[in-house]
Amino acid sequence: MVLSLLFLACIKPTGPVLTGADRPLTVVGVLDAAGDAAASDTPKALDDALLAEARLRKLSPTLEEAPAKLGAFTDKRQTDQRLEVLGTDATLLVETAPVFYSELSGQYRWTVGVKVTLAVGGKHVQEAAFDVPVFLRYHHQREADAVEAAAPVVSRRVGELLDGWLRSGG
Amino acid sequence: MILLFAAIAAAADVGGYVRIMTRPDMEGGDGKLGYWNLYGRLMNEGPYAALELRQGILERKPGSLAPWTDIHAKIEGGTVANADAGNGSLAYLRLSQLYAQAGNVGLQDVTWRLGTLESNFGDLGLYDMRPAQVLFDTVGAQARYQTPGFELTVGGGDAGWNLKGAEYNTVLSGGITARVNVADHFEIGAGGQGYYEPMVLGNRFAPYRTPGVDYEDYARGEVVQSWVMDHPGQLADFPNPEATDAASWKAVGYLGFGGFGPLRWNSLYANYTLLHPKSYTTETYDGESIDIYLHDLTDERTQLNVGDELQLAVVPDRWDIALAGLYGDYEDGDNDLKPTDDDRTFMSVVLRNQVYLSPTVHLLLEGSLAQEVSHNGNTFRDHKDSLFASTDGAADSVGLEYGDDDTRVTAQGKAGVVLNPLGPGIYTRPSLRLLYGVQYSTQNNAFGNSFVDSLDQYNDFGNVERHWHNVLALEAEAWF
Repeated sequence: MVLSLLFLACIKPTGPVLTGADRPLTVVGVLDAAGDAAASDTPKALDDALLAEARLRKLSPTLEEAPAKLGAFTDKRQTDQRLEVLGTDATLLVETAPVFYSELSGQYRWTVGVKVTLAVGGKHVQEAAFDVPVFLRYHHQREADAVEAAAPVVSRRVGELLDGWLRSGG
Repeated sequence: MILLFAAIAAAADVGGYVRIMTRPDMEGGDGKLGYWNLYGRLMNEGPYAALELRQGILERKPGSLAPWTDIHAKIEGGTVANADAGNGSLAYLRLSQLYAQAGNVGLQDVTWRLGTLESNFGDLGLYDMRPAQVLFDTVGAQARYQTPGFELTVGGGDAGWNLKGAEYNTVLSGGITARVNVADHFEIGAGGQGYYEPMVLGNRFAPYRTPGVDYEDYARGEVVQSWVMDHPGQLADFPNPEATDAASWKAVGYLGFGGFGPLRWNSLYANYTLLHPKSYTTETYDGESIDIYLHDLTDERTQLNVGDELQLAVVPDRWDIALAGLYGDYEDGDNDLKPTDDDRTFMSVVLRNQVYLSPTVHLLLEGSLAQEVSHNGNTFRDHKDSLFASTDGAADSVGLEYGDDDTRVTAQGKAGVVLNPLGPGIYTRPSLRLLYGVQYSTQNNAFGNSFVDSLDQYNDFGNVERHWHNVLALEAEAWF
């Protein structure tokens, strides 16, 4: 029993085999909260997870610093408008929109709407939109906590998109 | 992004909770380690499934104060095919919640809710209890004003169907909760709920009192017999019930703090409740059924419940603990004769450790210690031959006590492996668990079982002395 436990704990997840050859990638996360007029940064946990996915694939990611873009992102809610603000380099834009769902069996369920767009030269080369249900333990945990809780799922999907891009010659 | 949310708006969203387990029990139990959640919910609960459907009609838009509205319907029940006695029958499932919500309609930052209501301050996860909860029994309307750091909920409606079921009578219900949060490190909340059931002459399900009833006669089910003995041959003159009204209430409080060092959060909940009076009971005497109305015999039942739970990250990403305590003091001012669940004190502590061997492979170790004390004499059977003992250790066929002890002490230990695909966290789900649980109780065979509980069964089957109970469990639990 103990040996099998140790064995289970030692299994390493299979990593990606694709390589981005140190290609630069601008990574941008945005949090659009339903009750907040202004766009805001995504939590550090999600940013770190996105950067880690890029580095796993030997890309050279740079996190876009937040304050410079948030004003523009508040005014510009369309993905293409936001990509225009970010320029024409290879850019990974992760837009998140958490919405409270309900209290469910003692947990606070949120639905985090996610749209991931990978653009090069202003053109979408990969994109995906999906929802991530997350459960928060406490009432005071709000939008940023919901996005943080979604980080494992979001980063995994982002990794799949990066793989798709690299496979197609990225 | 707008297109994304338009797409979301078109489809119903489904959330839910499920748990299923198999716990083969070689000691004659029904698969639960002990009787109830006082010893921790883990291995003391059966299967459960809940599905909540949410249909967005007008979705909330980021950065917009435009009105939004949605509809929620929740179906839940405690049975799954092949996992419990209910065998997954839909008869055990119920539409427990149905409501429509609308926000930013008329008042900014206010969410209106019509249908089934609820407001609570949180959950004691280790016990699966919500001590600070109001309006859960009410159908009506509710308004919640919510801004960062402050929340006020006011609601009202009818709790008659919940409290009285098929013997419905309107029970007006109103409740309020308020919560203040300071810098996400400190929260305090308070609230309450009141019930009023008006007098309705002629409605036999409205509150009534039958005059001149002695509590001991009621406890024995001998009210009519006793009256006839005092009034021979006058059964037809048994007193008619007198109409009255009924009221009850509940007060709740909450204190939360955390985000300091290893303390993730500590939640302290309390409630004090005056239970709503019961309606009636039926006695049969000389072939005639007579209803005894119970307002005056059940209007002094109070409950105090206090619960606390804290979560600590002892070694971040390696070892978390959750520690919880629960205290209950239930009093029935009308009853000083018969042991019941309305007249007892209980207390318990539960400690869960979760050690992360890797992000997805965890070790779980939980222990609990609990004491339950009956206020009105014996109610627990400590030995295999306890059905021969009740009052003062001697058999008493007309006594109101049951068993040979007024106290039950229970200790449980649970340990095993947890697989969490989504990573560390005591409350991270889904969880797949392989657990071993052991219980020691002062009560004999203190778990759901089919052992003998009457003399004729004893003569046929005998009984065994068993204070230890061992159970192996394979469990899956998920929120989605």
